[in-house]
Amino acid sequence: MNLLSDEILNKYIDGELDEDLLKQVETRLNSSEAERKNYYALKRVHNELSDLQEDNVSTNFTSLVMSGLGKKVSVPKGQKAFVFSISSFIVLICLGIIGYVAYLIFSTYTPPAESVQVTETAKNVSNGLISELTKMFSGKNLSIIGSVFSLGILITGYFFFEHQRQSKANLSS
Amino acid sequence: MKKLSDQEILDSVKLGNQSDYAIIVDRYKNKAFSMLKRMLRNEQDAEEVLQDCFIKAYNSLNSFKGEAKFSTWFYRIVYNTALTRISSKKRKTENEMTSIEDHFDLKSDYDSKVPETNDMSKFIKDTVNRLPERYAVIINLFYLDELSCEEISKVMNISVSNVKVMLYRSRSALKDLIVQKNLVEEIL
Repeated sequence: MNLLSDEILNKYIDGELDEDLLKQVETRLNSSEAERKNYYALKRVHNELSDLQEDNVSTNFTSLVMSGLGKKVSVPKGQKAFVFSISSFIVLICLGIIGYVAYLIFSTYTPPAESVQVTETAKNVSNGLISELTKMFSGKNLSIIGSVFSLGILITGYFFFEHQRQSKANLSS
Repeated sequence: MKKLSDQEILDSVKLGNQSDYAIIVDRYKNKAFSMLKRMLRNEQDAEEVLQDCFIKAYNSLNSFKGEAKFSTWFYRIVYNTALTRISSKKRKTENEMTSIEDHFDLKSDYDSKVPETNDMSKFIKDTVNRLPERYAVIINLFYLDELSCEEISKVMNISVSNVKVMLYRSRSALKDLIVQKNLVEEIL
């Protein structure tokens, strides 16, 4: 007669057998020395595994974790400089455009006569602003602005990919 | 003194008592470390990954809704982070992460690697450390962390029956080894 399979013995150890099978297994274990030896060896493994001891981490582990919790992810210095230079460039372009528009408005502005009302003045200024913006973003000017932005994007892209390449090189070295 | 449950501690942490998280760290650090050591087979890596896991768990606490036990959720983070570390180290995970159908033969694989000893406990511990990662993780979670097969299946994202098959296979392989080495004393 074949020995009880390890699967059945494992289930027996874990208490997963139904009542009928449980009785059969117990009968076999009581009547056969070979069965008992096989079962005992498996049971011994189970007992030894139950007594496995956990390993210990270093003594300052908890304090290391706790000190790491408050920290935000630090941005590398090089990356900070890169982001700063790109954002400065974009801000400068925007300031340039705003300054240029303001210059055009105020250079065409004529002080109102004393009799003219304030609302008329506001109307003139807003009309001037609209006309200057229309002039600026139409025809030849639009092409120039587009070119400046495209150049800006190209330069930004170049620095961005260069920075990425250097970061990868640093990581692999 | 009453031992606080994980959920009570986590509620306190979520309310802003960050220092209470140290209780959770102390509660799980050694067990999770044992599991990582068996997976990564390097103490330093295991400790580094474990630190990342605790920080990752802390940062994701809001996504932990308490539907499962914290231990299951946390060990899932640990297991997945360890797998990522293993693959990033370009180890041959396909070979080491033996699939359930793969031939599992401790006798031939570990016969020469496990030092000769008459101490059964030491022998079993050494052999468990040499089990393929998934088998070692199951042994660790089942015996050290006392997780049920259902909980282990959630941690490892495999079926419960696969967990049982792997658990039984590990025990049987260990049993065959101790019988072969005559480490089991005669009781009959």
